[in-house]
Amino acid sequence: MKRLRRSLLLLLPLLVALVVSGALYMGTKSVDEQKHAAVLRAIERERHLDALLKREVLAARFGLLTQYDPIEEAISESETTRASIVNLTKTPGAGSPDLKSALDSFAEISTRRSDDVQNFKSNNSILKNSLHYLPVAADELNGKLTEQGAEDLKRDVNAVVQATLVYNIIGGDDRRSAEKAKLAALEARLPKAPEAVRSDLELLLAHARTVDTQSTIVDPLLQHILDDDVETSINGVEQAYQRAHGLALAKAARYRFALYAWSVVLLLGIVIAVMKLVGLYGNLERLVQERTRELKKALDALWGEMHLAKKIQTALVPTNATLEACEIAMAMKPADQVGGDYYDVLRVGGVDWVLIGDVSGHGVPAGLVMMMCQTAVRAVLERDPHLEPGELLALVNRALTQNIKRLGEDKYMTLQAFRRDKDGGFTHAGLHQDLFVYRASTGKVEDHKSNGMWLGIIDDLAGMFRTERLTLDEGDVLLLFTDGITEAKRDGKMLDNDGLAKLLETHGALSPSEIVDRILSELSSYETDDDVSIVVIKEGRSSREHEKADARSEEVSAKVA
Amino acid sequence: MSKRRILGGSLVAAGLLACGLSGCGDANGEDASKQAAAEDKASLKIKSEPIQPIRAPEDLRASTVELGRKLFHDKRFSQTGDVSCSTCHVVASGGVDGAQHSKGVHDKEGAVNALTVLNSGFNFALFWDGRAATLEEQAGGPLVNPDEMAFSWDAALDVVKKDTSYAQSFKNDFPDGVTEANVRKAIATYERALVTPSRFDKWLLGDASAITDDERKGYELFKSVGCIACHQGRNVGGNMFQKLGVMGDYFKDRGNVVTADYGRFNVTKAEDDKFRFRVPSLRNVAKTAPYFHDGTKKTLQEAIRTMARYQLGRPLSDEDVGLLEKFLRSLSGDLPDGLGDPGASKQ
Repeated sequence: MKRLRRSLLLLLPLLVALVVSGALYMGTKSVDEQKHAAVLRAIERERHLDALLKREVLAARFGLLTQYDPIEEAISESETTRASIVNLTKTPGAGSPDLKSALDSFAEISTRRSDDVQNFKSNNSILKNSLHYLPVAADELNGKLTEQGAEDLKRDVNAVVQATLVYNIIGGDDRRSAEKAKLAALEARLPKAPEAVRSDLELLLAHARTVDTQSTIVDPLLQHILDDDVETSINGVEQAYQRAHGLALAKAARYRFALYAWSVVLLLGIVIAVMKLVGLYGNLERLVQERTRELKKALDALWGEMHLAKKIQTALVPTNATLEACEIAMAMKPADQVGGDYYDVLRVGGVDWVLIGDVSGHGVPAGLVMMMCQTAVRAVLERDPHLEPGELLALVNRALTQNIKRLGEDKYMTLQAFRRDKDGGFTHAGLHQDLFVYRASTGKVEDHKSNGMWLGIIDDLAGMFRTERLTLDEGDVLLLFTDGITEAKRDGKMLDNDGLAKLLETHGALSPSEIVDRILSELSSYETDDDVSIVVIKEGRSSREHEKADARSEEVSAKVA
Repeated sequence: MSKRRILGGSLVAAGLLACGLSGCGDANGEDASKQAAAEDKASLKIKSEPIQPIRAPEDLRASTVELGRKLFHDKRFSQTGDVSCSTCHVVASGGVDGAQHSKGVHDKEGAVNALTVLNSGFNFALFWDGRAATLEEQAGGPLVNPDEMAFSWDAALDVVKKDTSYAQSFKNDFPDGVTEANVRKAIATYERALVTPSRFDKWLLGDASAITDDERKGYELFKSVGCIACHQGRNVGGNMFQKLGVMGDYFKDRGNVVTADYGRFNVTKAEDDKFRFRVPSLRNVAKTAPYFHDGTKKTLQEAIRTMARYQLGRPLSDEDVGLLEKFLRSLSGDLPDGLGDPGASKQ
């Protein structure tokens, strides 16, 4: 919902920008140049048609045009052209009230012109007919007058024809008066005219009168058509149109200017938005850098602590120690994290102890448990160095189990305790890895299973450990290790117990430190993410001494059980 | 006002016009072949004649002409279902029905004689009183006239819409389909196609043998006695109004003046327009008896004599009347194929 609202908020300005740009763009397109050209052409056409119409009417009056089709065509085309101007200027922006009234007035004047032309055509036809017939009628009448010997009447007839034709062609008030006088004179003679020519004379007089009457109708009509204000009206239309067009152009120009201004605003908006983004990005980067620094600091601190934890772990385990009548070598290679490997070699109250174990898991909790274990072992042995290994483990377990519970950690550990017997060999108990013993006499390696219980799970483990005795002859080697060695992998294959046993068999004759070196050097080609701990002990006493020690050891076992 | 001024101001124009009429400005003449020269000669002759030849129009859409033909002959567009446009305007018979006054629905008689529909596209106005400026305008008149077809446009459009063949034709020919304007357009288009060039047109176009000597003499007479003053142009009339009774009182002599006799006056109410009528076309005049708006003259000769008396104001000899009649008969043309009554053509 929130995201939708944010999207809408982002879209809204975009939409507004688009709508405003669109509206302004349409505003700039309000002037259609094609239409403008068409209107101007139509106006020019009207002007031409008006001139043409006037020319044709004039030609018709003077007998140069013998049919009216061209006149009608000009009128008809003028009407369609005018309609097209009205149509073209109908669209908003193209016209104006000014133009509309100019077009209305043009329409009115055109209609009047058309009416005048219709009137002209009707009357002109009558005039033409009589004009044409007058001399013909006069000729026919004159023939008859000659037959009748009425020469004087003939003169009057000819005078009427001449005066009528002259007035028709040249016009003028004095010529009309002259014509009318001749006509009146002839009319006055009609009653006394010979009977045989009377009807012909009447016919002639009728046509002469028609010419006279029609001239006074046709010529004013002609004058009216020629002098009409159609041209002025067309000019009015053109001016009004040009004004409207000029206004439309100015409006379009205003829109264009507004569009440019709007573009600048948009551009500024974009620049500001980009600058803000850049600023925001810079802030972000600074923030990221700060956070990274803080994180690094925290990590460094953490790593420092880890390092310390690791240091504690490695510092707690001895790197060299001595065992009575034994050669001993040891090493611990902690993994990247704090591990849970543990071994210790200590002499308390004249008794030598060797311990090895492994806390489940890695990390600081495992390291802590290992430390607790080391402390507990030392504390217990300080109080009673002659404990049986099983008793030691049970006591250590009690302390560990309680502490692990307090920690709320799901931890446990393996631990094996070896007590050096005075007569050589070891008494031992506890569950850990197998014990590999290299027998110098045979050059073979024995595999002794360890037994017992894990520490840290059950509070009371008293009596749960079986004490065993390991006899070693001079030169025999006891190898203690953690699973970091046997579970190391090369090409996906673990080294395993067999691999390690073989290594011991190969290098068993060497000194303990050399054996440690060889094993570790072999391990370097293996991959492991676990701690690697190794303790190698080489017996320095002979077997004779062992037997004594064995007897004592059995006593101890009985006591523990 | 002075005629001198009119003349003086117009002489140049008139001179130019005379030049234009005589063809001195024509561009074709100089390097043209013999045939072209002959054509020019013919065209010069046409230009100088007050009557102009007609040709069948080539810009009409055939499907619309056909649609108009069907509408024109469809009797369903009348109240009684027995009157169509062609009832009074029989295209095969000169475009008229031969009656003095045509009869509409319920045998109601019209007030004036039916004008021919042939070549009506060349007229500058329609009806005797010129009340319609275009064929489209005219086409709707009789349909709703209570004395003619007494129908309504709503009912007419209903008929058209319900007729699937009409509906399809309208859909094909007009983007907006069946409308009153389109029905008018279709009928007018058909009427514009009803053009009947005659032997006289051939003569005008240069075929000297197309008309007889008497017919040619009749034409000369037609021009010289003054008929040509009104009956001119390509439709031999139809391009102006004229008063009936210029040189004599036709209506006084005939008697019983009715409203229809006032002609153009009924439209304009202008005193000058009293007794003025649209000059009828004389094309096919031999087939359009009886004559005049009142249909009172049954023969061509009668009509010619009446015109000579009341319009020309001069006597005509029987010989002249005969020659004039012969000329007028040469103006009869044939209806182009496929434009007659679709019902009749099926038989």
